[in-house]
Amino acid sequence: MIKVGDIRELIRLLDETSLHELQLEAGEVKLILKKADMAAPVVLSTSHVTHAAQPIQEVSLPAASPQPVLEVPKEREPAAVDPEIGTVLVKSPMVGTFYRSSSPSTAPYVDQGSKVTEKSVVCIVEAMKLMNEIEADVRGEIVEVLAENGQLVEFGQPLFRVKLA
Amino acid sequence: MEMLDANVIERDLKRMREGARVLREGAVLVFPSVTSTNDVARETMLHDHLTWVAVLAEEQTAGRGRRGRSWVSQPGNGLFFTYAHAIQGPLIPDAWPLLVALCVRDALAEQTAMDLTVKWPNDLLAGGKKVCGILTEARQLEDRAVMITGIGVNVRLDLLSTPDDVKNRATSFESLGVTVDRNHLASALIHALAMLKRDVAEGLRFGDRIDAYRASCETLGKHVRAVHGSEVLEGVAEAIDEHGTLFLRDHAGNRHTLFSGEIVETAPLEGMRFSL
Repeated sequence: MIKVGDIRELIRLLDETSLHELQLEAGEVKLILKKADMAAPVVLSTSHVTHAAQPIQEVSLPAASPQPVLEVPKEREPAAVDPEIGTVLVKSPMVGTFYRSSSPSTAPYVDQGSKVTEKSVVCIVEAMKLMNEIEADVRGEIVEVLAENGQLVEFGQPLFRVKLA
Repeated sequence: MEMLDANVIERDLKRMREGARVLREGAVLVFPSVTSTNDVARETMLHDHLTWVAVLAEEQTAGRGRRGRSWVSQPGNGLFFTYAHAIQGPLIPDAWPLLVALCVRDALAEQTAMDLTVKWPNDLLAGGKKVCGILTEARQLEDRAVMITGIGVNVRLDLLSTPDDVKNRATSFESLGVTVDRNHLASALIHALAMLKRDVAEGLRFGDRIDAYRASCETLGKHVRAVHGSEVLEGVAEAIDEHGTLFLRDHAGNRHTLFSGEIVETAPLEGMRFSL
């Protein structure tokens, strides 16, 4: 079971990064945190209704606007392993062309399985001949590359999925 | 040709309107040889908390253009120059490379009395051939962003060692009968870019200079072939908006929006059509 203090800490960490969303699974609890400007509430769900008896309602979150909402599903969720849990998405900060390497003749900055730190450059998004070097902003392992080299990407489009270290 | 000299550049800069103030905030670094001035400037800005740095070299061993394309950097023959600066807060990618093109065009016009044209987004041409290329890179850091503006000016081209494909597309000021003082050009560029940086910080946007850009843009109204991401588009370059976006109308009448990419061929509207 995730402790309230842990959730506070995660929210604080999320606030300090440019990430908009964080998903985490610990035991039977799935936690999804989204920034307020994404117009989505903080959702805490558990896979067992019985957990509702635990003091979830007492969870007090730091002053965030809008006020987070706690949601407990009435029915049991499928127990299938969700490959997306415990991962975060690195998203494009702008519209542009996605490049995986600094030039066509060099190796990609990262590949599936690459370990990254917050400062690792993971790709370039080009807009108007401005080559924007995109950093991972999180520490972990690239588990999925979500865009094709040379593809046009939109603002907020997921580029990589990173499993948090 | 005169050697690049940081002292000469700084002395020259101090004589300019805001030069002394500009110089107090940054540094001019001159090297005999570097891999690429952009790389040196990036490393300097990532490790030192400077407001700006200008990096110049007589020679680049790994000079590059867009997407790693090599930039011919014959020793002493060009101005291989990078101006990198820090921006407080988040990066606002608002057509900086296009504003730079106008800024460099004006600095070159002042020194050479030549009227250069702009090929979208930011190549500078004389008589339809490239004399100056600009490669901008950016990195968002925790508390600031670093903008790296690389400028390569063809002062001379050693025709014997220049590949034919480059000769067909590029020219130099010397071959146009114009002598360029590289140190003076460097100080003029530092001053002009520092002023542009200040103006952008105070709210200048590409939309404010769009008329000047359109007037000097040789791509507009032409039949062009463009590489955009992984696709090749062909059509008439019919408009540029206040963000620097180019709009292309293809033969079927479809309108394409180019946020990035490159014009690989240009022809007059009534002239040849490319065969794909």
